[in-house]
Amino acid sequence: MISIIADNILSPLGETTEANVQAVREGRTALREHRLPGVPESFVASLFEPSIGFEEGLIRSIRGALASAKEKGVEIDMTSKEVIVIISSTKGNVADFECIGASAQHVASHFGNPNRPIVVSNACISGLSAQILAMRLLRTKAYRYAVVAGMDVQGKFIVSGFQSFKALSPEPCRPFDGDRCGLNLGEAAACMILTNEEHRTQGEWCLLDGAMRNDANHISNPSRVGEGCYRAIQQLGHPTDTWSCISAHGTATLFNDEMEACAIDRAGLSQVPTYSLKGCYGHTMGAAGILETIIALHAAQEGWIPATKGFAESGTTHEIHVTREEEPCPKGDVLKLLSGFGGCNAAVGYRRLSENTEVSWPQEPKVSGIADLEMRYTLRLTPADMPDGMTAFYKEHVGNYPKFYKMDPLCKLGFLATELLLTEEKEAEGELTPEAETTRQDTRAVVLFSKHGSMADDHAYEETIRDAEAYFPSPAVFVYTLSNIVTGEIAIRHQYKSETACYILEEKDWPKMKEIIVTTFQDSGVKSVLGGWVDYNNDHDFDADLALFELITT
Amino acid sequence: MNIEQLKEQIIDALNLEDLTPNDIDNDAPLFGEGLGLDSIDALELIVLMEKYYGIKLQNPAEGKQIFKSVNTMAAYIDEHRTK
Repeated sequence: MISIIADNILSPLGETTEANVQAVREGRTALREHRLPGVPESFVASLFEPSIGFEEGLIRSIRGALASAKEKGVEIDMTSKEVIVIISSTKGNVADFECIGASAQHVASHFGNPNRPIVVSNACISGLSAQILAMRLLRTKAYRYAVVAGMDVQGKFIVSGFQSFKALSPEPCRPFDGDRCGLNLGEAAACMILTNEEHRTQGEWCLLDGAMRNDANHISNPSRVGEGCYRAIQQLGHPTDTWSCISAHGTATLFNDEMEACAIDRAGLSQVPTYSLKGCYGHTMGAAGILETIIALHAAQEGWIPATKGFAESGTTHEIHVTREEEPCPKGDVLKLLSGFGGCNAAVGYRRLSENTEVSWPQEPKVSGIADLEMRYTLRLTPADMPDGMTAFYKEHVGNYPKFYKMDPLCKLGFLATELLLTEEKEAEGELTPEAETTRQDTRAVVLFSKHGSMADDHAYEETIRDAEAYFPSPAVFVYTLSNIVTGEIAIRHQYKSETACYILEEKDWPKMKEIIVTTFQDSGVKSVLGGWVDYNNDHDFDADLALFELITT
Repeated sequence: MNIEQLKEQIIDALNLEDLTPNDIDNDAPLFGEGLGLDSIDALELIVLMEKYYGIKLQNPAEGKQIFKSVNTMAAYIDEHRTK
């Protein structure tokens, strides 16, 4: 069982978990109107004042969590190989166009950690993806502790992009409400320390399980029937009557809340008290999954369910139980949901350890090692394979998918490599029956690694906002500034509705990639993984190195 | 309003690389069955109108009517353009 031994939240509402839990209980918010140089329109957000840099925020939050662990009598030696640092962020230090992997390395090095940190860049579900990865790695016993920290900094880049998406609310957001009209952005750093150590103390929270599922529908619009969110909840295989409350994503955009309510209803959870914390914090992106989990667990432990600040009257087609006021929290498990661009969705369940837990603990999943991994087909694409460029290569080898032209170079590269890899598979194994095809689509995960991520598109987007006289932020360019969109494009093209995940590493490191890919099979719904390296720096420096993985069956 | 020029701007803004202005019927629906455009394309058309014609469309929901076809879009631009 993987338990949470300490945590910290650093937000405009306070520098400790306790201060933040108290602030939420009092219904406080730091959401207010802001202006930024170079951004013509004002916006409502929850920002650090004075500002806190990406690495500084992560370091302070990790330090806070380590201090909190120490208070509980757990001294964590960050210089030990038994500690892995996992960073959750969508854009890192994008203002300076720094690779997130480099920032993460600075943070890990600050604490003298000898392991290469792993960055989870899975759009808005990153904070839950990072916990799921930590849980899986700890189950393998490769590490004793995982330090999971998330942050995003809100500057001109992200604000202008969300404005171009017409996604921002001009007032404090109203999750699930009939008058909701968009989200607010927020800044925070948050950290959780997880362990596989058996020093369980009563009251400690454990991760029951977690799952990620893709809508395979659209890169920015969620599935109207909440398909991926529903599937992620169902994958947990948890009895509906044991959830005490749901900490929803609840961004307050028209589409997110509608789809989330639909997924919650479809999963038979419409009576379970559900809330969103976005009215207190705004959308803190890379921090959201960690921050909102910490608040959820501390509130449940104290016996209350937070009110959904900003919610008055239900505004979703599917009626669910959204909290208007604080409610008493019955004993039971806590469900956390998130959804994000690229069609990704995540659900994680938590249970509190107590002496008289009547419900049985779920069976631990099968944990396989790298030796159990079978690489079935491989495909490599480098500039040498495309002397006339990607478009010419596409026309010659694919040619029937006009969406290709809309993609950024990272997605184009991942798309082309996938097309060729799957052609290789099809030629070797023949056409599948429709039933077998559906099974494959439901059970094939897409797990990609990159160094530069969306950096090339980051520069392209910056061009659209650089000049005050010609300031035309492009939504079509902005959407690709999330590194995980490449996994979404592949999922959409091939209707893969299983897990999709994107990780940033400082260099192509096959042992590390395999270490992570094999953990994906801890999800019992995953039967094969399309995974590997997809990195684009410029037209002369890119590398796609993909493979299809299955577990060796004996 | 130069319809051909507008079509070229649309093709360029939406990366419709396989298409030429002649492929776009002035009255055919841009979304859904027509060119198969999506919500991000609609947002990009809003940027196009601001960039070339100085039209600021605050409520993206209005786009549904304006972007029905090239002709409806051209008519809206004629009426509201500031440059």
